Amino acid sequence: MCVRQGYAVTRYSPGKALYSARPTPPVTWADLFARADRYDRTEADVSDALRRHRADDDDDD
Amino acid sequence: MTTDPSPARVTADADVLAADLLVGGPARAALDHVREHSWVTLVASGPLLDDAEAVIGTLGDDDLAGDWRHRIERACELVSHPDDDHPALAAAYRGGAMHLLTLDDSLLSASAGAALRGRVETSPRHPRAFAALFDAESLYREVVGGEYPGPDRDPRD
Repeated sequence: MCVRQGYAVTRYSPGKALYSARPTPPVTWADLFARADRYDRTEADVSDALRRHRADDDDDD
Repeated sequence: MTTDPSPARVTADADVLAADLLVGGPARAALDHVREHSWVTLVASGPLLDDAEAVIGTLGDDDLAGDWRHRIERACELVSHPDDDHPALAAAYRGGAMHLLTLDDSLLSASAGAALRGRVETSPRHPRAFAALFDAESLYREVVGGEYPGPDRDPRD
C-alpha cells in the first residue's frame, strides 16, 4: 500500500480491485515529532543548514 | 497590505520552525504555546515555509518535509511579501506579528533590536525567552477579554 497525505491507495494486483482510495486521518504534530526524533538534530545543525540554504539562494539570484 | 500589530500574532523564522520539528527544546516549548491557544496566530509566508521545508528535507527526509508542510499550512496564516525581503522579518511586519522567534544571532543582537525599534513593532526573541515569558492569562485578558479559560487546543493534534 502506498500512503500519501490524505489518502491510502491500494495498488493494482491480479484478482483485486483495480484501484481503491479512502481518506486517511490528517498528519498530527505527534506523528511528525515521533518521525523526526530519529534524526537527533541540534539547534546548531538547523542554524547551519538554514544559513547555507539562504546563502545558496542568494548565489542563485 | 499589512495587518495591525498584535501581541497574539507570532512569526517563527525557518530555523525555529525546523528546530520545533527536529530538535524540540525551546523551539517546541515556544510553539506549543501558539499551538495550544486558538486565539494566538502563527504568521508565515510561502518563502519562509520554503526555507524551513528545505532545512527539514536536508536534515531529515523529503517525506517528512512534505508532511510537515501540509501540517504547518493548516496551522498558520500566510501573508505575501516581495521575494527579496527577509522572509521572517517581512512576514512578521506584514502579518502584524509583534514577536519574531529566531535562533539567528544577527537578528537577536542589540544593534538589530535598535535598528528595528521605531520602524516596526516586531521584537526578535529567542524561543527560550518567549517560552519563559509567555503569560497566557494576561495576554488573553488583553487581546480577547475576560477570564483566561486555559488552553483550548491539543498541541500534538
